[in-house]
Amino acid sequence: MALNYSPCAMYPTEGDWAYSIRIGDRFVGDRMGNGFGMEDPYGFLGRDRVDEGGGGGGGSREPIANDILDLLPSDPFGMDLSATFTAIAGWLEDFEVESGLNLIWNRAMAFGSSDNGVGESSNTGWGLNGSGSFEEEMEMWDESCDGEFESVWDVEEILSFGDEAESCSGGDGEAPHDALLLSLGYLEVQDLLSAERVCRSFRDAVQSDSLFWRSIHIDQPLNERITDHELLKLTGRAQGCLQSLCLVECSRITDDGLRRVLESNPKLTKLSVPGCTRLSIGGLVNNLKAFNSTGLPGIKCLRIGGLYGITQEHFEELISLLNADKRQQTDARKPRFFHSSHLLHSNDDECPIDIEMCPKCQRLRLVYDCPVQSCQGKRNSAQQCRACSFCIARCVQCGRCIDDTEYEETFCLDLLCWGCWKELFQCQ
Amino acid sequence: MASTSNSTSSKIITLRSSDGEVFEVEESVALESNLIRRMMEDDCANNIIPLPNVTAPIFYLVIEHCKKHAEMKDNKEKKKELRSQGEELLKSDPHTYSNLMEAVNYLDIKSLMDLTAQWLADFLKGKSPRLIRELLKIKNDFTPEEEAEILERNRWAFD
Repeated sequence: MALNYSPCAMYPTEGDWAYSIRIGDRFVGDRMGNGFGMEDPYGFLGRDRVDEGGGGGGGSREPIANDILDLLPSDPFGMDLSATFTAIAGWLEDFEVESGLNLIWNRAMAFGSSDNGVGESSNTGWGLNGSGSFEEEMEMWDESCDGEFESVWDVEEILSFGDEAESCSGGDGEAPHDALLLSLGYLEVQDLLSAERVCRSFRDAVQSDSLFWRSIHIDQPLNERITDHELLKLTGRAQGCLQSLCLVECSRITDDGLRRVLESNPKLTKLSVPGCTRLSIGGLVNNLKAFNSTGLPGIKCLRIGGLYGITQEHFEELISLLNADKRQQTDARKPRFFHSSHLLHSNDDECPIDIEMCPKCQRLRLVYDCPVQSCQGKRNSAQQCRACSFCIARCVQCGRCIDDTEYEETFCLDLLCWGCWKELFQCQ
Repeated sequence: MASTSNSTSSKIITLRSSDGEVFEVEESVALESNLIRRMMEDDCANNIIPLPNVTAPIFYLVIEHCKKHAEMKDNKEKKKELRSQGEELLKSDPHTYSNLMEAVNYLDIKSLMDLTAQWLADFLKGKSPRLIRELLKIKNDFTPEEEAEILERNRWAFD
């Protein structure tokens, strides 16, 4: 039951999961630490709890007194069973405490929108898990973690709309220097939207200058929030001048949404939709067919890594739509190395389409090169260290193949080669 | 520190800031500015080149950045150093930083423009409108209605 406890329960709302992970990491780490007898920075594992757990462990063995198992030695291998039970029981309770923490976290989220701020701390809802000692512990925790909450609060403040009204009255600032507007063109979408809310001159610049919106790149955290409707409005700001549109893992964008965006932006030449899982390859081919037949010059550069179900027919159709022949495709291609953020940077070369046939499994996927010198030297195509990420496992950090080297598996099931792992470990 | 001549071979250009201070700058440094380059090409720079939009302290900053930028091309350490200096200035004195950007823009020094604007963009990254106002000392001149309108329009991006 404990193992089935979903960590997702710690994520209070879908939109806020970025903060939750932070909290989540921290707590998961601390809880595990307690469970395995490591230090207990917040004084969670009170003596009450251990005693209670120990009693529970003892009690559970009594009913089986008449069982044949009872004839066996109680601890044949000297494993100190009662201590183990205590530890496990403590561990289970820790998980319960986590559900308590979930409550706290929800409260923290509520504070984000309340006018009184973090300081307002009522005790309603604390008694969920019953015992007084639990409440005490929670209070202890509350005190010792004050700093932690403050930092979370900062993030919340930075990203939320909460209590902006009081700043409406002005403050001691002045009108912005015109030169500051020069940097608006260097801002990413989310920061442009923030800048728009700073003052009138920023707003007017952001809203009137379509050049800021000529190239739109959406990735985290906006990619999880943007819908067809918002994307259409956002691209509309370019007033028809949109040239490059990059949507990294925008899971809410549909074929129909993309069609409407294409219809209203005839100057688009670069389209990247890596990992947009709601787009179908069939729909994309149709959209592109319609777009490239009407507008000039049409899409020249397409990035579709991470889309499912691409067949040879789709691929050939796309190649012909992009006006690219296969030779041009390989000539323009720079070596591509695997990286955890590979989808973000998949459009820096000029090659018309990013996917190709994997030399090993013959499927149409993103194909990666190997940064290791000895692998690059292999000319023979059968031995060449070049394939999709399914055929050759690679380090998420440096992209090297890890067939014959030592490696570590990360919490996210990514692989890290020994060298990168050591480097990361030293940094921490 | 107005004079920057240390090589006998390079030509020295004389420039005058808006507040009357005269600077002697190596031609190679001065030519980073497209404005000065155009003036020299048009041959309207025989004597002292006037820079009516740039004050002496700001021009000094520009020259300093130009030189460091030339040095940093193949030096990562210098690049870091210049960047942290830029960020320091931005945090401590956003007004001077704005003047620096304005001067760089006026003198049309493309490389430095990219650099200073990018620093500012990085500095603003992920910050709330209120924090941006505080840090750059900008007054919020929106009416509550205007603020609510933009808020409503962009709500999806911030909720």
